[in-house]
Amino acid sequence: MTTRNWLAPLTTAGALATALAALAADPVPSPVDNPVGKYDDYEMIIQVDVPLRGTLRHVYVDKVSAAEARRTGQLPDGTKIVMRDFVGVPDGQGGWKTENHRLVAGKPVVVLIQQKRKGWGTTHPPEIRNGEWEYGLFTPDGKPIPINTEQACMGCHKLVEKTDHTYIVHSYFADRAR
Amino acid sequence: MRRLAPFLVLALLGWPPLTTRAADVALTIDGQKFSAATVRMKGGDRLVVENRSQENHFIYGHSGGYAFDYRATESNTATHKPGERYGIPMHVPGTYRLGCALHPAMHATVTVEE
Repeated sequence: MTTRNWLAPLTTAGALATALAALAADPVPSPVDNPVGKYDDYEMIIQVDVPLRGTLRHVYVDKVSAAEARRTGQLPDGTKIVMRDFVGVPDGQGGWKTENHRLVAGKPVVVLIQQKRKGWGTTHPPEIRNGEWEYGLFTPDGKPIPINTEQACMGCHKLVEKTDHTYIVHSYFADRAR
Repeated sequence: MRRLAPFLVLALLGWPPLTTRAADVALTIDGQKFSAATVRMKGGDRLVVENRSQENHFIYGHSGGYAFDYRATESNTATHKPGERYGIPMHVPGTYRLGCALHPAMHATVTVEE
């Protein structure tokens, strides 16, 4: 593996964190919970591989909400979706180690949370507001990373209002509740 | 000839098996549509997506507890700029919903067989 190949995901992850941090932080601090160190309260539901650049994401939902979502097909009030991003593990042959054809998690990069609670979201203008969802970003060891969630998160998630502002998590539960 | 006989017998019995080479299965983006609504492929084949439109796209797929996207660079805003073409080997069997994060109306279904 070339040095360039090996460094690419780390550079990518660094660029992501830097780019997000460079955005002016939210004027009102995000009210989301810090999930770092509390992963026993969550269950992992989806792995998202980014094989062309060797990074991956583990997607979790808090256990209480996951149980209800499996029954109803909807993400209930209080849902916390946590995304832990990792760099893959080099396989020594220019690629990335896999298990069952899925990338193996190496160095943790960043932790993101998408959380909703009754009454949240009112500080955002209607054209950007994601219902009652709020977002937050943390280092792997739990330090908050100040970001402008309207620019970094809500713009894209606004596009998927029909699936409760999520790209795959709502579908994951809706499919199972049928 | 006698020395070759065992090998001839094995060859007639189909051993060693001929390896099937993984194929590229192409899907193009024109405007804000995929070129096919459904795609069927064998495990190990590469799903190659080419952007023939004039705008950026962010292509991802998911099936149950497994998902993937086509980011190949440091950019997190798009996977395919106009003219770009990327392929990912599809090893995990299942029926995937393929979509574009920037254009939620774009859909295709990709079935990966065992």
